[in-house]
Amino acid sequence: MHATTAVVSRTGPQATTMPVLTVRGVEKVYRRGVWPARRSHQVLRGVDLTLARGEVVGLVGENGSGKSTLMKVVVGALAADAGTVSRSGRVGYCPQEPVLYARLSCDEHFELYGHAYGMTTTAMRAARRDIYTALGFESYARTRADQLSGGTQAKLNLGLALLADPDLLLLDEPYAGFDWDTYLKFWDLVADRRAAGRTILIISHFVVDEQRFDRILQLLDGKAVPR
Amino acid sequence: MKTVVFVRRFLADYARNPVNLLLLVVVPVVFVVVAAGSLVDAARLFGSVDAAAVATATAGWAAGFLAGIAMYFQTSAARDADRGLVIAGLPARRLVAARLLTGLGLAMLASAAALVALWLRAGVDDPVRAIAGTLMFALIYLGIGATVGSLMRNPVNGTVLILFIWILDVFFGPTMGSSGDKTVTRALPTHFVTLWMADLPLRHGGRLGDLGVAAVWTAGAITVAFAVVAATVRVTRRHRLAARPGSVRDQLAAASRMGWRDWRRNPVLWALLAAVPAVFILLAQAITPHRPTSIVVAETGARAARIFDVFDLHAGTMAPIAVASLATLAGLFVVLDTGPGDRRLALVGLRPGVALAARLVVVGLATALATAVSLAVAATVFDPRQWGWYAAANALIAVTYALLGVLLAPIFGRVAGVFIAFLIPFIDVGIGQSPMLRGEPAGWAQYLPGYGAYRVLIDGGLTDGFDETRSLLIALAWIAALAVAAAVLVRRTIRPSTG
Repeated sequence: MHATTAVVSRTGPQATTMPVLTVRGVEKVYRRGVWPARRSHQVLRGVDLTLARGEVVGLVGENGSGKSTLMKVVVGALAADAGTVSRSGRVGYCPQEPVLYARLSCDEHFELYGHAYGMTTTAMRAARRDIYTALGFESYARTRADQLSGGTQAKLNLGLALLADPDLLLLDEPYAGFDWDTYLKFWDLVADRRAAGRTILIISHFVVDEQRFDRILQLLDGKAVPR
Repeated sequence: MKTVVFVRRFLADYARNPVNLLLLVVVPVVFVVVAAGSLVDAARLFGSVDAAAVATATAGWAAGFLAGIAMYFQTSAARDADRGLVIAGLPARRLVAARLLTGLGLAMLASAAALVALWLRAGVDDPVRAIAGTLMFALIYLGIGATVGSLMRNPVNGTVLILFIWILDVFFGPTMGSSGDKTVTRALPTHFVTLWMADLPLRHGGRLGDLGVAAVWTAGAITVAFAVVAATVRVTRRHRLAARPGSVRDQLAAASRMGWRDWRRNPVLWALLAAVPAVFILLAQAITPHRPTSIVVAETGARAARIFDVFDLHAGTMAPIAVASLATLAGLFVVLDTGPGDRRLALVGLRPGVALAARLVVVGLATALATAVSLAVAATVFDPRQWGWYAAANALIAVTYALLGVLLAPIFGRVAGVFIAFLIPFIDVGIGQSPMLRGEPAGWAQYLPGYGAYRVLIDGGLTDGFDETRSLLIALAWIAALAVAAAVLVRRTIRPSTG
């Protein structure tokens, strides 16, 4: 089994045809327990995937098919056992479960992420204001994360991924917990980002509005295949 | 000359609110004339027999309080405007000098009012001591007010802190009965000024004399204030020039600031900080009978068993247990609570080393608080022979166990981590090193993390000279090893995967 190589460029996509994300032969095996009761479960069996600039791609699959595992490998949260991942430009990642600091407010989360992304205070505040408006949760700006409803936590979780207007957005079940109105606002946001040339990969258990995607891929037997 | 112009403008700014000037005169007069009688009564209650000394000190207390509060508002309220002046080109040192000279003017006014009131009420036996002493009071509090004003923007927090320092200073001062003779109260800002001003015969000043130490305090307070105010005024400019968005410094400052906010909003930890040392230390003292015990201590290069009364030392041995327990839990929970968030931040650009450093800053602050609270509680019932080494040993134990807590988090997780975080300090500091159970640690206990620091603690607590260099080196070696292990392990858990 050979090692995975992740190639990350910060220069940004140069042309429409240049892939923003290229995944080649990614494999992942989960091993649980200790010998002699050690068990292995291979989730990814050589995933190949290419996303071009300005594409909105859906990734579907059954429960346990490896969608979140693939996204974690792509973003760098998990090491693959084999294969390569090449990304260009800035990446925004929205994990399936909100990953937040319990006692920090929404404003403070955006401030902290602004520093992590390397944004100026002015740019961070402008982007934050746009996100509050787009997703409709500005009234919770100073509320601590542990005092937010599940839906508002999901908005903040998504907003942190959107903050720096990244070239590649990796969204794992981003609209779980959204009401219908927010769900529609989410798609407006996606349309705006696509128009600006951003690439978006969205994981979902099932796809309702197929027309909103350029392509839909399915994880089947550990490989990504067109649906 | 430019400085004088600014002083004049700052004074005019202050004086254009006539209530300010009125208070500078009225408050000392009322304080000295009206409150002095009650304070003399209070001092008698605490065991003081020198009513004249209390009356003399009231002038200093009044001048000090007013100077401190006036300087606080001088520094905090005008900080933004002052930054504007610095940005416009005024050197920070000149601005700070002007602010401090303005404060000096206000302090002199308050001191004069207080002295006149003192002279009218009780007469002044020694005018030189009264005038110089009152002025030193005012200058020390001028420094305190400026320092607090630079660091605390919220006026409620700032004034409450100054009031808190002042109340401690007054009620635990040398004119207020027996508390003035305790070693720990000598660290209060105006202890030595009061001794010299009231000509009390305690002579705590050593070779420098009470006047010498009082002068050092006065100069030190002004110097620290100058440095702190200058630093906070300059911060904006330095940040603008050096802290690029996303730079190491920028990320470290933001991550540390947010980490601290996150931590301080956890009321359970605050309750633990207050309750654990109080229960550990005070309960230990309350239940300990008088009985002799033999403890091995190092003196003049040799180890020998000496007999101590357990009543006198039990509380002192409980402080490090409280410190170690709290530090371990702080290290464990800071890393556990922030781990998932830090990993997500690292994915979008936060440097793993910066994330780790920010967490260590928060753990350090939590640990420093735990140690300070434990020492403060211990100070009420335990009188170590060498305060410096005793406090340093507690700090060593705190750092050792905070790092151990940091290390436990990624290895054991939440539930098992908590069990172990309770177990190790208890076995090491509570049993293995405790002089209450054995005269000196058993062989196995010498391999535990607390051994070196605890020997330093015994040396500082029970002997008059420092003889534990080897133990100190062992403690530092443990800290270095734990720091490296914690850095490697935590960094690995935060760092995004590249392979």
